[in-house]
Amino acid sequence: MKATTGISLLIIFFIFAVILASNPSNSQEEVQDPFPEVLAKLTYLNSMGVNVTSLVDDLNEALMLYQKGNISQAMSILNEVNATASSLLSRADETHFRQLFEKYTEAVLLLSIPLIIYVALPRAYAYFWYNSRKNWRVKKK
Amino acid sequence: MSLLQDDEVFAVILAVSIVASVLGTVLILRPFSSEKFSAIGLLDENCKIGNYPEIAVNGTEIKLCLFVYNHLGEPAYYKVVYRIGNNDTLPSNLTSSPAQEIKEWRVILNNDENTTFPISVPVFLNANETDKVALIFELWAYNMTTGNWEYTGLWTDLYINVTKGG
Repeated sequence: MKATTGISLLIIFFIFAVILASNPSNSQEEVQDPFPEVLAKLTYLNSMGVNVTSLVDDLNEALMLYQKGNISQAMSILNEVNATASSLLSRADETHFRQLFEKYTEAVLLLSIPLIIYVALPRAYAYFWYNSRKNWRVKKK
Repeated sequence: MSLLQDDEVFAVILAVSIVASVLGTVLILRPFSSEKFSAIGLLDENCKIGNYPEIAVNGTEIKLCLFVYNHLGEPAYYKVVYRIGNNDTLPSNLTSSPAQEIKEWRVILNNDENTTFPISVPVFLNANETDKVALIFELWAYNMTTGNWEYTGLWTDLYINVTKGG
């Protein structure tokens, strides 16, 4: 009786093991996917104004290799992209603030053009007008 | 001394400069507000529109091409899911098809980048299907915030007659 129960439990355990092995859940699959973590870094860098175009291309190349089953080469490229992304993360704030500074400086310069025209144009025009005619002589008719 | 003597000429120059500078400033300061979207397309085996296969032998594979485009304003991680269905199991703009997933292809794209790649898909009849089936291709995108794949609501399909073969 005990032997029969033991064999039954063993069979049930075996069936469960086969089912679990043949039907991995989506959550397990997502945990194993190494690409979102690296892509999240690249997306953040992109939002901070860092040019990540070539890194995304490299990551896509790694993904293609990964899907073809060339795991070792894919992971090698993935690790390279991850290392580069991590090193760029420390400079992301600096890049972001530099771009903001350049943007607002450009805006201030553009807005100051009418003021410069208002102040400088009549003076510059008068200066060149008098300069171009300073050697003129008045002739008696 | 026309410019200095004529206030109207000077006023026009000043007005034009004001309009131009304000317009330029707005263009510089405005946020990136372009419409965000993705796209999927199904092409024939030469990666062109047209010449799609109409008949396939049950259990064989047919060659096609897929086109995926990212215009989300940031890099995106996509997957195209392939299913075989019929009129009752077609996806909608909100829900994906209930038919079983058969194959998938993943791709990572920069913003404003597209890719076209050849694929080979198996064609077969399920138990409850007639000889005409719909090859369904759904576009899914990975949501970085939630950490899940989300159906984009975009899909394309190709109806094909499946013959039993010799």
